[in-house]
Amino acid sequence: MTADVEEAEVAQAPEARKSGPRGSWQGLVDYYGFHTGSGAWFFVGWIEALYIPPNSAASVEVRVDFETGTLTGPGTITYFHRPDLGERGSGIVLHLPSPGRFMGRLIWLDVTTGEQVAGMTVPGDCQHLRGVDVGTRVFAELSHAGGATDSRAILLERLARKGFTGEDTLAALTDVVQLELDAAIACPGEGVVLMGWMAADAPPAVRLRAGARAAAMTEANTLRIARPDVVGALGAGRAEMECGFITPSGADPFYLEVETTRGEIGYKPVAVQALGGIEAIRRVLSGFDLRYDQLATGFDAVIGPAVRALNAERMARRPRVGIVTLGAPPPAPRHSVIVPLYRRIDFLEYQAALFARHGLEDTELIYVLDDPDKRRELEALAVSVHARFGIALRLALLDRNMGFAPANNVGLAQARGKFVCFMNSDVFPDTLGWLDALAARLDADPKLGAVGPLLVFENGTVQHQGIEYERLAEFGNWTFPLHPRKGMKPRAETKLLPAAAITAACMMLRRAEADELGGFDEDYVIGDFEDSDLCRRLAARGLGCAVDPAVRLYHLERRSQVGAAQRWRMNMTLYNAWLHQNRWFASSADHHG
Amino acid sequence: MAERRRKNAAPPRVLVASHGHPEIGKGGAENAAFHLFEGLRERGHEAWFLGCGTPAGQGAELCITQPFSDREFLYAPGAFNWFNFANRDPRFPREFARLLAELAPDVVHFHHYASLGVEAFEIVRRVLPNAAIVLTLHEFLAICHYFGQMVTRPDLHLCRRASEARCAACFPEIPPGDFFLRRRYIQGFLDRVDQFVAPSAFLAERYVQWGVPEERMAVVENVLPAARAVLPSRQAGDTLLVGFFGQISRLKGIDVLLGAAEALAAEGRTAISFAVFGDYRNQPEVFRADLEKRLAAPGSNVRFHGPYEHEEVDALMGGVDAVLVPSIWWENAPLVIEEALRNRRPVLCSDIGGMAEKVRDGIDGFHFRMGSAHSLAELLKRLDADRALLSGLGATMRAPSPPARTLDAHLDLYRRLLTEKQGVYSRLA
Repeated sequence: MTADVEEAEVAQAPEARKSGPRGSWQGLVDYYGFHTGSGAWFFVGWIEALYIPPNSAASVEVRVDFETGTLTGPGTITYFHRPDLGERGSGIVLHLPSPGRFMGRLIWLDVTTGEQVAGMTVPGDCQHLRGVDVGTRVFAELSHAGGATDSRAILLERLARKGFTGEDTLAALTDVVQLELDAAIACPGEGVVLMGWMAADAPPAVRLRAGARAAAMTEANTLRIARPDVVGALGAGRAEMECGFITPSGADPFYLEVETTRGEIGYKPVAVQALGGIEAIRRVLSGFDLRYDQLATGFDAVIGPAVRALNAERMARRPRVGIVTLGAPPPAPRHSVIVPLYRRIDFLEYQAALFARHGLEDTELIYVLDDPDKRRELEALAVSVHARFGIALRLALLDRNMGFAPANNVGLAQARGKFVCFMNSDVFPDTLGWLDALAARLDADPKLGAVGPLLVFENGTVQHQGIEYERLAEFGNWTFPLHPRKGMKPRAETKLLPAAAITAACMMLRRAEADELGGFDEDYVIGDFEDSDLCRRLAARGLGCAVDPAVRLYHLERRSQVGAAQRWRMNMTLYNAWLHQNRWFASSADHHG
Repeated sequence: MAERRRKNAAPPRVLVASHGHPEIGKGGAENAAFHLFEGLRERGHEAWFLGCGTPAGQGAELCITQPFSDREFLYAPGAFNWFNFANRDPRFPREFARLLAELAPDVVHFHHYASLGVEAFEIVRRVLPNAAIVLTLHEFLAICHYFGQMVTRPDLHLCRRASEARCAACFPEIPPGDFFLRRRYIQGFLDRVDQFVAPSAFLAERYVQWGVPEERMAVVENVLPAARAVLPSRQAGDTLLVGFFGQISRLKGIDVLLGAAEALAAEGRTAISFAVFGDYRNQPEVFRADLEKRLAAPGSNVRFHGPYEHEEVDALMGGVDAVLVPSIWWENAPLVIEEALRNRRPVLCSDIGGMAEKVRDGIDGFHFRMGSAHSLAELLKRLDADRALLSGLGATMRAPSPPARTLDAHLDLYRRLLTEKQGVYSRLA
């Protein structure tokens, strides 16, 4: 959360000045204390009479030195008659909103109004009141003060405020404020993402509070979401179309504090949901359908940091990896083929049968199961495949679903070949000796970092022959990796095709380089853009990518579904695109073009 | 890619583009386009076909693909606006431009402007400034928002001219200004076309009247395949059997046929009967119920034979004495007329538009008054009474143009256009 409400700033280190006169006028603090109801310090004492009080304008600049730090910020001051002082001075009540943290002993206090500075000393018998005593004493002072100044009325209203007691008190407000939270999702390190809607006659100020810390919901940190469902339920005129919101909070908020334009305060408790992992990401990404103009700022300010935090937490919990070896893989393989498995386990049977036909003398096959529910199914199928085809294979069984990049990285950690070939389970060889052919390309050119085959659909048309980057105006002008000539007949060509990047559906690298790069970046969620990212990192080392059109494999790419039910998938692609954009194309980006 | 300078003698490289594909749907326009493509290929010309359609199960991200032969491309249409023929699919301009640059044809010959969108002409002009753009027109879709039929909505009266006010009368829910914008939008892009082709003089006249420049309009027949087999003619018997072929709908005049049949049955003229071949499954429910009731009426002289394949039409026409085309809209150059003449079957048709042009009264067949069951019944009684009237047409009936001749006509057109363009090009250079 970036924008705090106007409350005193806390300087960590106490300033050098511990005592001594300062300012044109002198005063004394009799007692002080923190008032939780209004989230502010009260200071009560007196100031010498020559000091000219501000008119009705109640706001003054206050600086307070405590033992552990200094508070500075705008405060409210009011005056009351002190018969004991006669003509020598007036009583004052000073109210300074600030965090309610422990500050230690009070040392000094300055009040600045325009040119005038009043310095107030703290005598040895100055009282520090705590709890309800503060409100009671100050209320008594103000009740007896006489006179009806604006500043006195303001302070009386603030004293009347009750702190948050765990209750939802919005219904008691004079002005109607409807505010509902649909979700409050903890994003470790980034606080909580709140998703909900608000309808009010006059938009109130909303602050997210954690103890005395408050952060305001502002235009800059809040994403507005169209909520036709709310407008439909409340009736047009009762709610704006974009009454929905998604907002992050810097710290875990305990409750929302709503201050109406007439100065009343109401509270809304926040129940933070104990969601984690991909469920939490899905929940965050299901809640919006951004306009083009909201994309860049929405992801920069709200969605991006939240999803990154959720995914980082998800990745930090490493899976337990069970290794099953069937048969005797070559002790010093030339190639390591790494295939993550998810959902369609049965592809392994077709793939292994084709591998077996092509011979695997110097190749180790590593299947990484990224779908723990399928463990039994895979074990049974692998045993049968081993028996039927007489090939050795290794299974790395993850106890949690991690996604494409982590699953491949687990496989990479197991690999021993000179070359690694990352491969999808729905890619099937069509050329004999395809691994050697690809490896020969890497051997021939040390400046080549990654090479892939021509991938074709089942009808023989191109699925992938290299990636081209293109800025898409419909997606914030972010740069997307596109597959040119997809769906077209392949051209008759055998010369290596250089490409800006290639797909990880089938991608061969030298293992040493893959290890140095640390495999695929796990910041990308589930499986999108990490191949492009890897190719960018190769390029940063001066290594290129290419497709060998003489090597042809089938890729039965899953058909993408488009629909509202898949909104979170679309938004996840946008998240990955945002990450990819900021990492590699930020300088060429024109977010607002 | 730069366009190649070509010699006049070199055969033109042609991209034929259509709003459909015969593998996906079997409309007349896409078939005509495909026959043109096949004809060019059979003569050894460089030619390609770009059709439209989405094969079942194809992913939404695919735009232009090659699911069939090497020379056939298929565009999966995205967001198409059927009011102004705008193709709002943001992928298409980029993908189409890439294809044009790759193929670099001398001629891009469009059959129809639906699905691809009228902006396609502009894209060709942009990518291949020296290519000739040809557009073969089919029905009146650009002129008439009511399925391009130029009949009024909802009464199905013949309409002779479109105007903002007349169109708004058919579509009270659409403001007249929208029809103004629609015409301006479509004509703005049609202006990029070098040569319009109409298969009938009637269609050409209507488009010229609407605003297509007359000097850019030519009447050239579509390339149609020759008859598949010469079949023995039906032996002239006691009954006069009249066949109806094609889509069964109100606009195709099925009510006229049924009205005449019912009148003849009521008069006890059992020697005249009707055979109906075609499909009505996609017609409105009320229409279907009424049709089924009338066909099932006791003593009906109408026999319904159901849908047929294109390959069967020659055999089926061989089994009737005459082919009936009773449409109550203008028609353009109905395929069924050419098929009938190809099989030496006289055509009995409504006396308007493309039908009256393609069938000369008393020479290729006979006319009756459009929409009049009485006029049709009278004609049939006359033909039944004097069988020589029909058999006599054998001597005068025209033969449809063979594919070799229509193809020649297309190639002549391309050569003329390219010569003209090259002339302009040389003068500029």
